[in-house]
Amino acid sequence: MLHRALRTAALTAVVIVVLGAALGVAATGSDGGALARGARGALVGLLVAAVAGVHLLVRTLFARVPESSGPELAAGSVESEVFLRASTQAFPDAVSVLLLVALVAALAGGDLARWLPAAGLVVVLLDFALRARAHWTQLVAG
Amino acid sequence: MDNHVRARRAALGLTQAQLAERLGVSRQTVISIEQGRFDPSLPLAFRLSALLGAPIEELFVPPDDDVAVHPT
Repeated sequence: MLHRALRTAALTAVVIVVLGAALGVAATGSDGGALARGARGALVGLLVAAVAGVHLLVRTLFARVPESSGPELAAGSVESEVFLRASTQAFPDAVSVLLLVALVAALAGGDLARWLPAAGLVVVLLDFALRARAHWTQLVAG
Repeated sequence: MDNHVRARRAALGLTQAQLAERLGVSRQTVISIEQGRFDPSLPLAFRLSALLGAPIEELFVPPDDDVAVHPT
């Protein structure tokens, strides 16, 4: 089981690095020699792989730590219900916000394109947090 | 939704923590159910019914306007 997981993770990392390198070359332009382009692409690829690695690590830990199998996340628990309601309500807005951000960033370019995705992510996370708080208040602490 | 979970639990001498542990949910869940703030899922309601030894319809009291009567 562990062997399969490691093999899957390794293959995934390779694919991510290759894709990241391609994206990196596309994103950082084609200035410079082949070596410089490759280095920039590889750097972006590694950054993408690092982000994906953090994502996988968090997911794995979330599924492995004792609390994840505890009663709070059990089906039927009020905590689980709060998370489900907040996620369900936040999802359509998150898609809309990220779509808008992607569109504006693609058209704008420059610094705006650099920071707008991060701002969109903050808005999405804040939206989820506020909804979760509202449902928690309604179901538990109101 | 109003319910008789607290009274039934007390009659059996169970604490909220003990009931929550037997149900496999958090104690906060039991508290919210007893306060009528949180309606349990159907599987959880069945587990409550089995643990408290009372039919679901005796444990939970739906609001009048939620009870649909369809004469046959």
